[in-house]
Amino acid sequence: MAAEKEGGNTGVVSALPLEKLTQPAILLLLAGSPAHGYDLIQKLHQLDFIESDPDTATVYRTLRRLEQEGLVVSRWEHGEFGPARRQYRLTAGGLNALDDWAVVLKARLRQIESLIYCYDSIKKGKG
Amino acid sequence: MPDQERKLKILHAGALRKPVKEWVHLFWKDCPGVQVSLDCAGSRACAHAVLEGSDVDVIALADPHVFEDLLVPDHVDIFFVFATDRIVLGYDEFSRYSGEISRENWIEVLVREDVKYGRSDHNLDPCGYRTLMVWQLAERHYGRPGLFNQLNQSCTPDLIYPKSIDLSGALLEGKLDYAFVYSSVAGQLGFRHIPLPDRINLSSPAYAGEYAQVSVTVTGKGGGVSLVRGSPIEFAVAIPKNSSNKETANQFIKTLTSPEGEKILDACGLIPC
Repeated sequence: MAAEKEGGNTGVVSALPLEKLTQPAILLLLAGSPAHGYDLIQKLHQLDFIESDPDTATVYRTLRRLEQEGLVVSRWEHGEFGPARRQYRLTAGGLNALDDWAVVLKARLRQIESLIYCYDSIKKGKG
Repeated sequence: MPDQERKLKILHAGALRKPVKEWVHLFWKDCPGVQVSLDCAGSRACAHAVLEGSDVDVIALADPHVFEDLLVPDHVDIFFVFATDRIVLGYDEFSRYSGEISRENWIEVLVREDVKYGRSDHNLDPCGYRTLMVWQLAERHYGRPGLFNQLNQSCTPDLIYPKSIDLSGALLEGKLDYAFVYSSVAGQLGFRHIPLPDRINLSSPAYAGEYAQVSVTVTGKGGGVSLVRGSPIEFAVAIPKNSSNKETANQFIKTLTSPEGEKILDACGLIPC
């Protein structure tokens, strides 16, 4: 069993809260251009830093929460005929929140890089 | 408000019965005294009623495609997409093999000879053609050639119901062991259910491209044929052009798309979008 642990994923990594990146990812996408929830889910699916497939309910609930917090606003968008969909746009508050996320994530990145540097040093020492 | 404006006729998909009733109570808080009449049918049947001249102020359907296919632009200009859902396999504690069915073995359970499973009519109800799409997607997803035909042939006409609410009734009454229903309906009626993978349950825009690879042919009342391609499940609402109570109808739509209206959707298991 020890050999399995050394060679494979212990399951600990999956406990990291990577799904939390859904919120900054939505803010990031909306900083690019206003979008419907439908489009956002498709774009989130294509982002390589979102590890698992975006859950439809989670994305729509996140959008509503962001709107309640004043970070995005929505309005019904439609042409002369056809479907009207709720389109979301980032507010100034949302842009500030994205800036805050960037600060937090950069700090986290430095911590992770430091951890990996220590790990590599130990591995090299053993080698 | 003139007398005519004190009335509101709502025609809706059967799957929306519970939220529509609760929206009406919410609507009455702002518009007390408005006389509301409700009627429900399968979404395609609802659209045909409008085509045949039924006097309707608000029409809420289980698929925007039905608006596009049958009602836009002659009877409806704009329809509002307000909620999403997913298909699940509903059952109860008295269903055959209810103690052993799981996400992993649901196909093996369904194809047993003594198991009865049903769906709604694909010609009348989006849940019906969506079920046929789920079966096609399952064939691809699980790599089981012939699965669609196997499931389709075992679901004989006596196990096919006009709309999803009739299908749910049959499951409640024990006429069926299993039924392909919306997750919201399963929750509202207290069914146990097997969630299906997102790649086949028609829930996610992320898989819209894969869903679009399957299709179902539906036949209308007059014998006309339409090809419906797979797409993520959405619900939509509109005010028909011939509504004689547009102002009141507009107020109702504002109610259902308000934060309070969305809370009702949430509580009914639908996802406001």
